[in-house]
Amino acid sequence: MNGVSWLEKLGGAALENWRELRQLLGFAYAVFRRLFSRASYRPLTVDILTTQIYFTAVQLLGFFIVVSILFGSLFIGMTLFVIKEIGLTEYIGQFIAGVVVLEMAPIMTTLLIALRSGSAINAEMAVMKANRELDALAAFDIDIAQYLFLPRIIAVMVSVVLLSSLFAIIVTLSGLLFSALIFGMGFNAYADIIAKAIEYKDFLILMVKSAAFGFFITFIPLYYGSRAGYQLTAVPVAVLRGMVNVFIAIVVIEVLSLVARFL
Amino acid sequence: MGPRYAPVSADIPLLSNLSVFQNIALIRQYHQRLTAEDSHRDTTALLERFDMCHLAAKRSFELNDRDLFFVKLLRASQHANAAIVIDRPFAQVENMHNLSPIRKALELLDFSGIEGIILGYEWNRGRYEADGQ
Repeated sequence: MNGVSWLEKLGGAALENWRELRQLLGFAYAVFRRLFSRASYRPLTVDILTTQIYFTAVQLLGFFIVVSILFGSLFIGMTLFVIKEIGLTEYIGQFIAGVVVLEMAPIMTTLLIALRSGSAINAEMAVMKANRELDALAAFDIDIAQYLFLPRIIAVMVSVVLLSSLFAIIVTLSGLLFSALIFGMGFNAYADIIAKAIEYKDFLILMVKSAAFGFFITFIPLYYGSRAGYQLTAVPVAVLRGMVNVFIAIVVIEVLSLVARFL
Repeated sequence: MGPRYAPVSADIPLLSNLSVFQNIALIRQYHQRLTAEDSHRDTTALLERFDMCHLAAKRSFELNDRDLFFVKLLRASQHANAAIVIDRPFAQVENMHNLSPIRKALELLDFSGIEGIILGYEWNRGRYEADGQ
């Protein structure tokens, strides 16, 4: 009896997760289809997109530059010091290209934007749902995917790509400073090492990975926010579920990108 | 495509993160793909006609029930070729004693050929007929 009950629970949970996944994928398909449809774009979309890029990237810029300089310099300084200690000086270029540009830049940017904009978007959607504002849009035949979701998703994708690139540039420049201090390396020697270690493919991977992060850290909060209940008590639950799933998505994309790189 | 309705209802709120102006402008910006400049000109003219320009920058929580009702009516009027459905107007505006303010507003809107529907309760019949029409 206990065995059957345990199996029932397991099966119930599996079915529930399967239903949830199907709905999520259906929602992703609907959003993705609109992303590539010309009919989705109107002057209003451009206005909202501009505002969202301002909220997501421009407002964050000062803080982001300070964090990039502090965290990036600290990280690269410590690591270059360790590299010198263990005698792997010849791998500085690979370290900066492989770890800093391809891994650290997108993940740091994504975490910052997910915490700031992802949570805000999640709460905004859940509050709009609870206040019946999403119903109001539907009542006026306004497609919420076109009006609300698309500009936010594109804005965050663009912001993550641009800020990741900025982070990579700032940390690479910090590397110049620390390689001069630790190894006594001149600008030309450093530039030569970096140029040899970084390929065009790396820039492409950085762009694609950042764009994928940007898509999911917006899409998931939008999904969970817009599926919240009509009570205000549903708002924190929707934010909690959304942000936990954002974290899972970040880990999954990171693992998949590592697997793709080393295959 | 079935008939289109533009509701004026307590259950269909204004968007709280947009101003009165933006709430009204949104409908035509979306459906008629107007640019911000075109929409600004048209919405300003509409608010001027109703002497409501002082409300333009306000958010829904800053409005009294009467202003909120008429802003919703202006928003509904922007939905082209849609019948305006006013849901229980006396429940939305507490101290409105008859329909004449709504009739005046509809006359000011001057949207010939578009249907207007008012939904209400039988026990309010007296108030609906109070101005003798």
